[in-house]
Amino acid sequence: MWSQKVKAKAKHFKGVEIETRVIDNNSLETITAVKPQGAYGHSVEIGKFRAMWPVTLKIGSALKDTKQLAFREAGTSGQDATAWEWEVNLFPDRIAGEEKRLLICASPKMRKRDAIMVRIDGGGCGEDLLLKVPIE
Amino acid sequence: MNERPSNEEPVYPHVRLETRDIDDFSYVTAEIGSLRHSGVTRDHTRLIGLKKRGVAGHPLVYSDSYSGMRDDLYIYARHRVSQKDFFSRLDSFLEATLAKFPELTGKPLLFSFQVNGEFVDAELSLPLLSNIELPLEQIDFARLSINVGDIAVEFNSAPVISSEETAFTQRGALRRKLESPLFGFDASRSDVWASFLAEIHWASELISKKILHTLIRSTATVKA
Repeated sequence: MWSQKVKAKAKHFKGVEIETRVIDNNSLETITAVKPQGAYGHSVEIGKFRAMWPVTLKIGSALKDTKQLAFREAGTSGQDATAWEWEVNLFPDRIAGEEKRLLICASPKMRKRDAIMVRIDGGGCGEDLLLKVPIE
Repeated sequence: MNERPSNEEPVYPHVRLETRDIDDFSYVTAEIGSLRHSGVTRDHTRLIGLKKRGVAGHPLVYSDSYSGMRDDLYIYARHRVSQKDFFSRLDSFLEATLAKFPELTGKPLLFSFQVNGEFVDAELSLPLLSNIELPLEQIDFARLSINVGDIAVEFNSAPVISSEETAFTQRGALRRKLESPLFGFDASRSDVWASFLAEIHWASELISKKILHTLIRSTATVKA
């Protein structure tokens, strides 16, 4: 069966490509589904900024709850979170890079799929991206 | 869309201001030095119109100089043209300008166009209007890489206009929010694009081209 990779790309931000993905923690490849008891990554990646002016972006990622998927700060065993934020300054000809959070899939399987809502604001523009995450 | 100031709006504090005149046109030069974000140091300069109706309180030109590995200078301002008008004017400008740079004559022009968030690279020759294969109205952003200085332009369906910038400067601050759509050029090596910006500038029907050109060029060197 053909499966879609869990990724989405912004369409409205000018001069830059912004992509969000759910990734395998080891290979860093975009995955198509997560499994209970698995640890993955949620990433937001911003390419080279090709405009001649600066832009500040605020990127918020949110889950509706932590019953199945949860964010966790990498390298910590701290509390699960439903949201994380990244504020980033884009400057001409610079690459803003990538920001990641650990994405934990709890056991047992409670849903067929979960969703990560990503909101991007900045430069007079706003856009919502939705990552639908199938649970195997 | 005219953006009115609010007390909660993010600003740059500690602005140095100086009122200047060119002929009978008055403007204020606002400068902030050494803004540090994410390991980047930036000096920002903004020229704001005074007195003249339709121009008073509006930002006329922005410029940023970045210090570090490369000392880069970028000049930008809001433009008033559609995609078709832009590329038509760019054709005329490049035809006249490239003749002065024999090393560029006959070479393809390297463009990146952005449509729906995706970049499409193209090597084009003049005239651009007939050689761009994308529907012009779908182009949201374009960049031309050329060794006299790269340019970038964005296109909006609704412009973002800031008309009360002096309300901020009177408090010693500058609003962070920029107008749009913007056209900008890399002025690190030359100011050859200053006259093109004067032509497509939002105030080009309110201020003489000569004054606009002088204002744009002055941001490359101004220190308030």
